[in-house]
Amino acid sequence: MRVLERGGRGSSRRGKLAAGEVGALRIAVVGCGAIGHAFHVPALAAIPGVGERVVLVDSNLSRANALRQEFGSGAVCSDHREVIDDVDGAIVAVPPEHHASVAGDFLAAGIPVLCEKPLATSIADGAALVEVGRRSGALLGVNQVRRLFPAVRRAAEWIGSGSSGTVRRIEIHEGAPFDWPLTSGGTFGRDGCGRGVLQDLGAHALDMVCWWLGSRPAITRYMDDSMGGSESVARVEFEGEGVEGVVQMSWLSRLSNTFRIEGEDERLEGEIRAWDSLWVTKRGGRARKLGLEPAVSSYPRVKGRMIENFLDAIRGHGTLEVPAEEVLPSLDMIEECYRRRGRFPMPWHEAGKEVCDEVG
Amino acid sequence: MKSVDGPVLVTGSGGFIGGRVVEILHAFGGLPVRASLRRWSSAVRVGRLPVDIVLCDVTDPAQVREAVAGVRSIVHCAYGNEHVTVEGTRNILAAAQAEGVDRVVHLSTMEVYGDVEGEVSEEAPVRRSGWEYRDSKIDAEHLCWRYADGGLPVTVLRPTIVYGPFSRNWTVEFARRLAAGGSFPARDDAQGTCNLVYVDDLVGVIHRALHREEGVGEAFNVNGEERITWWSYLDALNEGLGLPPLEAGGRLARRTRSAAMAPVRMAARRTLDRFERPIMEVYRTSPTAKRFMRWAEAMIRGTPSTGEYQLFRRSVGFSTDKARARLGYRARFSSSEGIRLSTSWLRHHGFVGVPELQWEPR
Repeated sequence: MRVLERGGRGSSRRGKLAAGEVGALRIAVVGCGAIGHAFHVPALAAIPGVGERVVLVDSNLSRANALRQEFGSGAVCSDHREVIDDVDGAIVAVPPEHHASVAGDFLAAGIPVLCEKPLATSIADGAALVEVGRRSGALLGVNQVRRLFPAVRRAAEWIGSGSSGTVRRIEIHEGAPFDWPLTSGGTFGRDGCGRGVLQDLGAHALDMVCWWLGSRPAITRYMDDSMGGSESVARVEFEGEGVEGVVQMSWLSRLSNTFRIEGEDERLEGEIRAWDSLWVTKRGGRARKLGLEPAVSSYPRVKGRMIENFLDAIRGHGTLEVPAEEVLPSLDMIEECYRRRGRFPMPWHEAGKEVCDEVG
Repeated sequence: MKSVDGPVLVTGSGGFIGGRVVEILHAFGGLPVRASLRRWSSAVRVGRLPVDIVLCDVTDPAQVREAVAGVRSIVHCAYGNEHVTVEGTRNILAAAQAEGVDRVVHLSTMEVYGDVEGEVSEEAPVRRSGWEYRDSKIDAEHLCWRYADGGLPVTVLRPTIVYGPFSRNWTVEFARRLAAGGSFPARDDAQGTCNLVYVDDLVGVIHRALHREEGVGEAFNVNGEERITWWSYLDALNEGLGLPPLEAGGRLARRTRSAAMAPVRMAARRTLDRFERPIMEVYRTSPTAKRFMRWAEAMIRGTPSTGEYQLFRRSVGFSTDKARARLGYRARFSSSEGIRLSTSWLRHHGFVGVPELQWEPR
């Protein structure tokens, strides 16, 4: 492995463990942008014996070095292909359009992967990754972190328990002014990927819908505000097997950041990021509080749990929280939305034509 | 009329006015646009368009030179603290001169005239007052005139109260306060002139300034056609939002509340300026602290400041005769039309009244 080790250049033994073996894993984090800095690297750094062995991979070595310095990681490298033979697992945190190729390289070599969401930018790429993992026997999980949020998890249990009766309607509203500390502009404008808030927040929200329902509903309408670039506001309407729903997302304004699930007998409501309680209302009755799992009471705990789950699964202890095949339905929905995208009526935008009419 | 062809650089594209300049020039102005931003997270608005986007800290001369390379004109909207406003403008002007651009349109403000009353034309002197925003805009204008004397084709625009979609100060915050039943000065304390100009009318002037040589070396007020009072604006916005009629009275109680809130407002601002990071960390991790901070913020925002009282009482008008004569300007948007567009945008984005899930635990 041609990596820059802590304290000097050199290589190390391959860290691959046999299933069930307990020991220090060597994990590669590929992509040292905002999500690597905010989520994966600090979560790994908090695990004794693992954090100091992490290999940080980024084509921009200065970014990788900055993270190594901040979190005491083990080594840096500029090309993920150089570390494939030397790690026990890889966290893929490069921009979404590169997920398929980077994750595919690790999976083909039998290296377990935890991939950032969305798993891929097309259902074909996503399904291909699942297939590569299946053939090589390598685990492939997706960092659909909302599934670990206590409120979202409790909602899945509540639906699964059947106490709500048949689910009739789902609403999710998620939005806040965008302030993610992006290190590159690959999302935006002429040179951007043309995919914005739907691919970002929608990858979570639509996965929640499919996970809760255990099926992929049909898209009835999709609209966003793209004018040739990446959308910042989007609305998905869907229906299927007696249920209908809407997912509304925004990068431009703060929405209620809540969900509501209407069953035949009960209604569940809450904030997506609620850590302590949800509210259930029986038809014709009063709302009652539903307690949430106390072990996960903050965002850092959620991060830690996702990473620990990945490491446990590598060691052969337990299964992945979010196996990749489970996210394919939501990936398919996203792809269909973009294929059918329509633009919101935006009279406040069109009005600008008037002031240019007499000039030019 | 001489057309400025070729790419136009718009600084401050992540902001309210810069963002709209990018949208209109790209979609309707027939000019290739290069949108300049300080950080990528500010790109979500202009990123909806297929425009060239570059990162540029205007206080960094090398970044500015890179952003300016290859453009034929510049619309300079970026501003900030004194350093950003003054040195940023200096860097833009220097790079523009080196590049030999055909036009620089510099966004200044009516605030350069100070707290004057009566009818104000561009002949009125600028007045420093110790307010950082005003004084730094005056300094930036002085730099423009210095470069104009050196042959750089600069036009300076002094807009008044610019409102419309994405206007945080005059549209979003007012709408939120109205929707929350927040307090404004009583009707009798809001009879000053609200010199409203709809943002698209300002962009129309910018478009003209890019194309008309008559604007070179000159400053122009940019104002709407109407001279309505602040109360009329609030009342019309309130009605446009479909809210119950505004309470006009309670003058003494409102003044008292405003005066009592003044030291709280100042202390909160100083504390936040000094301890923003730890405060935001507590905000993120403690639900109780979050609830308290939201409550305190709502209290402060919902109470008119003493500065707002001064503004709402001031009787002043800013003449646009010069812009009409030299640039052929005339406002296209009445206040009622501007408010109609603004409120439809506010609803669309869920700032008020969107029929979305509103969850209040009981």
